[in-house]
Amino acid sequence: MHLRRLSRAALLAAVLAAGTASADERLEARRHFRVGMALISEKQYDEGIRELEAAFAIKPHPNVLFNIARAWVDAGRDEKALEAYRRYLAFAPSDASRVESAVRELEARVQARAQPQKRSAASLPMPPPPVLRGGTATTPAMEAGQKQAMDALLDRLEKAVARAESVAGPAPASEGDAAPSDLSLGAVAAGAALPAELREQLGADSAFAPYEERIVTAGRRSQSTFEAAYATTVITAEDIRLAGANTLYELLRRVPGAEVMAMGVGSANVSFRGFNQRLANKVLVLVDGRSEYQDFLGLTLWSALPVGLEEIERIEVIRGPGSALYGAGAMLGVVNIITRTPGTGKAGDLTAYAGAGNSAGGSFVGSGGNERLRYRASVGYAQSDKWSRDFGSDRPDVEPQVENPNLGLQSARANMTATYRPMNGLEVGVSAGVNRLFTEFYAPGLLRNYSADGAAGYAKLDVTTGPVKLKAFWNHFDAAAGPQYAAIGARSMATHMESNVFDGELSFVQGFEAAGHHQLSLGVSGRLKRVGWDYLGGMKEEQHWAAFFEDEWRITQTVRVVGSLRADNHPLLDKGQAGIAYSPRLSVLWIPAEGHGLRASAASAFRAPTFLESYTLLRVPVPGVPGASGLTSGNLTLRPERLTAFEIGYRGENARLGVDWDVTVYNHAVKDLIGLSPMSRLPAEDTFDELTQTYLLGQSFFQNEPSRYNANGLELSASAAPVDGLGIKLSGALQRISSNGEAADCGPCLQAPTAKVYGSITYRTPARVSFGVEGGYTSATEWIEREPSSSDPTAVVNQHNALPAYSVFHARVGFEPIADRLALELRGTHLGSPHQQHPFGNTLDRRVYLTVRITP
Amino acid sequence: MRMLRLALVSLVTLAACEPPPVVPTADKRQNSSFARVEGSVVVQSAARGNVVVLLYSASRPPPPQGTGRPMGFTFLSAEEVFGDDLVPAPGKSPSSGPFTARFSFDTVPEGSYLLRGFIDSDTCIVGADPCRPSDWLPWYSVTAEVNAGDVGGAAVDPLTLQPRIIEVREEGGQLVPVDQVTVTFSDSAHVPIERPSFKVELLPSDTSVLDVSSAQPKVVILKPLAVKEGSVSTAPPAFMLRYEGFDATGKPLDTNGDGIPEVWPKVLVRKLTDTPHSLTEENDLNSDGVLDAEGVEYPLAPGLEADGAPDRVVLAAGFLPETLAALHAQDGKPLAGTDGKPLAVPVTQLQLAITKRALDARDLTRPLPLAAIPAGRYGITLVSFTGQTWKVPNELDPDIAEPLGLPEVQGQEFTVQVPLR
Repeated sequence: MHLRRLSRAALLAAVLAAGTASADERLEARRHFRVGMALISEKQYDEGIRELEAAFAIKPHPNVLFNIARAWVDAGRDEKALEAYRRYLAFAPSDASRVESAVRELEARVQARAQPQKRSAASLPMPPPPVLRGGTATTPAMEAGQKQAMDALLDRLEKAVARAESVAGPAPASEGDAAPSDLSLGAVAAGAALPAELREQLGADSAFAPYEERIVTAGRRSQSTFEAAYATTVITAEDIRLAGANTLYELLRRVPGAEVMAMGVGSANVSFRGFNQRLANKVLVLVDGRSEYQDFLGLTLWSALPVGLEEIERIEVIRGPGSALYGAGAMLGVVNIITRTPGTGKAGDLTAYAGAGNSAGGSFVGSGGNERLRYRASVGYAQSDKWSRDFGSDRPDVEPQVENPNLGLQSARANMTATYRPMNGLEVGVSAGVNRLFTEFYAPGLLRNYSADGAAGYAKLDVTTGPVKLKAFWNHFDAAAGPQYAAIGARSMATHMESNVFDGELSFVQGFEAAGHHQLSLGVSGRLKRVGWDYLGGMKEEQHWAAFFEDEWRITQTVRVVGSLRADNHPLLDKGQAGIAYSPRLSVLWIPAEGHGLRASAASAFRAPTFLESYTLLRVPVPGVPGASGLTSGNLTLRPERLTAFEIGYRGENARLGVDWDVTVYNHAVKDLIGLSPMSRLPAEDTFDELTQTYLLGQSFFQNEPSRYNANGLELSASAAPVDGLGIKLSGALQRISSNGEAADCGPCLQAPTAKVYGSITYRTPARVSFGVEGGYTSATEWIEREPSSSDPTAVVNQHNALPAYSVFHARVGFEPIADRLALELRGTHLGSPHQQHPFGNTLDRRVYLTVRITP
Repeated sequence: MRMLRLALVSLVTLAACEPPPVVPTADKRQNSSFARVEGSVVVQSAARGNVVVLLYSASRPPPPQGTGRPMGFTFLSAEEVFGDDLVPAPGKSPSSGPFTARFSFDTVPEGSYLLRGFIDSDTCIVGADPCRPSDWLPWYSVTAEVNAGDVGGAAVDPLTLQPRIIEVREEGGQLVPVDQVTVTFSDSAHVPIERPSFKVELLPSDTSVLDVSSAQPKVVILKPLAVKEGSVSTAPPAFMLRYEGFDATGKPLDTNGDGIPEVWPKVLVRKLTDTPHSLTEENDLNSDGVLDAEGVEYPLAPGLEADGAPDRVVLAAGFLPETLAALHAQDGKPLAGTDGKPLAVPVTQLQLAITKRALDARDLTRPLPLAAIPAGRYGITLVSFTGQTWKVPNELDPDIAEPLGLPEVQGQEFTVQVPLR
């Protein structure tokens, strides 16, 4: 017994013996870096440099090497400094020529020292430090002129560093690495001599202050999250890898304010700050800047995305209104899924998994290229049974409408991305993907569990030259769809849907000086949507146009004002005629110190009516009355849903402790929500429907609700990497939604959970074992859904369905028997009590998966 | 070792690829048991038109046997039923079939049912001039009736020729669907008369208000109403008046023992909700013909104990002797046909006496007197011996007709008003 305990303790000790493995690499590296710099400023060079080396080992960054070199110089150890500079130069930084010059002089001095002679006062030991401020040590021997030159250079370089942090030039959302900047000292010249693997390791950090969290979604360019005018959350590839969750939407549960409502294995609805629903339509999901919003329904089909988790570099989330940047659909948030940069990572990565619920799948991701042409290609397959079925197969009244009623998701996908740099300053990106899939989704109103069996595909072109960027894409979706279950003998609701969306955007990003520094973004975009769908009564087409501008004005070093305005032209917004929706935004940022940022914003956002809401002409069978149908109609005169938001946020960090946090409070005023009207009688002459040969008992049409809603909320999040290997993340949100009382039942008020909490702990050991546990809690809600009256099926009534509070738990254990070659993972999802996340959704239960990852 | 064990356990778990459990959601249908009723219509008729099959609860048969309303209906187009024989060849009479087509009722709960139906005759198909197209619309009382020329049908027992009771019952823990039900239609079931559509006329200087202080009943005159506009087509030349039956002595039946013989059309003066222009009957807010579980209850006459349930309030009413006189020969004997059954007599008006007596007609066979006449609005319903009905007020009320796409007909908003005391 004692032996067993002892062995357990030994195992635990071995596992917990922290080495260099990390759970939150960025945060850990930043902690080592800040601690090291502080020690160096206190002239504890050896200790400080050890910390910097530790930071570099966790997450290589050239600026760290530069600072190591500087510290060695300050310590008077030129040989060590030379070695560090040479390592720095291996990254081919943009300031290489200047550093090389300094290196040459340093080499000369070392040689001179080897041949003892008086130190030349003219020898400049190195370029001044780019990161340390106030630490410009000058050698005693430096002459006045040289000192002046040094100070001038230092001043110029410090300005350059400051500018580099904001002026990244074109920073494509689809790229993990930053674009080159002439101004950024210590920056890596993208695509130069740097090995691809190292470039990937550097990731988005390479051009900026070491280990600073950066985001491209909040301003169409790379910027620090401290400088973003939006409440943002970043989920890194590391987070994804270590998470217990195994779906994209489940990963979003960690975002404060996120409402993740899993209905089935391939079907989920995600919203931020309330207003979630079946067919959630107020959050814009992007993959590398390309919209995944299905314009005809207004939802995101998560299972139709052509990328797998293993291809994702990071997920950037804007919480709150994003229409000023992204227009319609970005009403309550934006999720931008950014995939790995072509040409980075392992040449091949093979993953296979199997698990409970008939789950199986795998993927292969290949990457390669040369200095000009880089690519990433992937294929993947996934299948999984439903968590639960609504009906058995032996019912005398209802029968499944699909071949395999157990199947919840089946997907075979392929994706390809390539970038080509024919010359300096010009980059062309081409990507395309297809996903042949079967998935569930939950339709609104009286409709329930649907399936779609078809294909989603896309093609995208990006051209970047200097400050100008052209983006164009085509989204395609084609599927046979229909209810998964139907009453035997009832009229079939099977349908076919085809959607083609063509989108083009031209944008221009440029900085200039005028009473401070300005960073200006301008752009125009157009979108053509063609949707053919039986439920709409045939082919429908819309053309949309938009123009946008944003200016970030740095009034002082610490105060910035960001103003944005976007005008979206929609063909139906003005009482059925073309109209313009304006989305202004004004933010004030105060950055009192590095690692601290306060923001206050006022913004408006909107959601344009979807094709479903505008054009639907759907006859829904009435249960038990085969001769009758209920008509659901679109409405061409809908106003857009409108949101006005006020938000105050504070993001801070204590890098030395390895902790960062974000606090946001908001007020949202929402009006003109689009919903279905109560059923009303049709004029007698329109009562008989020739198409279905049924009598229409009435009409329910999409309308703007008269109620106005007021949402107030608080969001908190914190991440900590207090010791190497350990990562802790906590987030929570409180919200209250009220209405002005015009509606008898306030659905959005009752359906929004008051409290949401999420927490995760991950731990990686040097023994190549890693653990992750995460859990989320969502408070009780009440869902108002339409159902035929039990006493009279021709009457439709609102039913209140209570949904108890629920918790989700996921866990993961990973082991690498062969480092960087073979990895095994055991993952358990929904390990808590079986539960539903919507009254009509599947009952989610435990599932265990075993994953094998092979890197040939 | 531990990892290996975990991996093995997981592999065992993986091997157990159980199908997903069946777990009904909050959707009520998933938590209810239903079956289906299926079968065929068999039409032996020269009439042409769409076929409508109606499902009734056996305990609530439709008029004239009861007051039930259909629980469901299904529609079979004329093309589907008559196929290539829909339009007769030039110069030829339409074929009488037989024609068959399948029908199905889904989502039928456990219970006993009756199936009725009719051919919604479309004489335009056979080239009649003038012709009358199919005109049945289920959602309005003024259109949800068969007309003269339609052909009735029913599911009947082939041996007894009595209406067949269709039982949806549970066996082995599950409801068993009913198949092979035949609903037959034949020319022998032609609907002989138009709906008893009527308008109300008041005596000179009278109003719609029922003067409860007066001992005299209120007399109103019902006259045939012709409306042929839009979706409404009715033009009864007269009301067909007849006794319900004769007893063994040849006297008209007095089923409820109130001293007044039972006649067709039956008349009902029913209390409505107080909302102006509402057609909803009090205590039947969903208009399904069944009293609501909760509603208004009025005190019963002294000596009677309240049942604690919502009331179906009606005013006792009957035709004046002047009207009933048409049913008697000059010698005073009731008119009878050669088969001894009561003879139907066309009359161009019905003089209706509305008494100052209110009843709770929850049990139609045993109405209970109320202590007082509840104040409010009362509507008048006529039910002919064919089961066809007409109500006033109805959807032709000029204040509500227009949005329903129905013609506005003055007088169809009429209600008897009982003022508050």
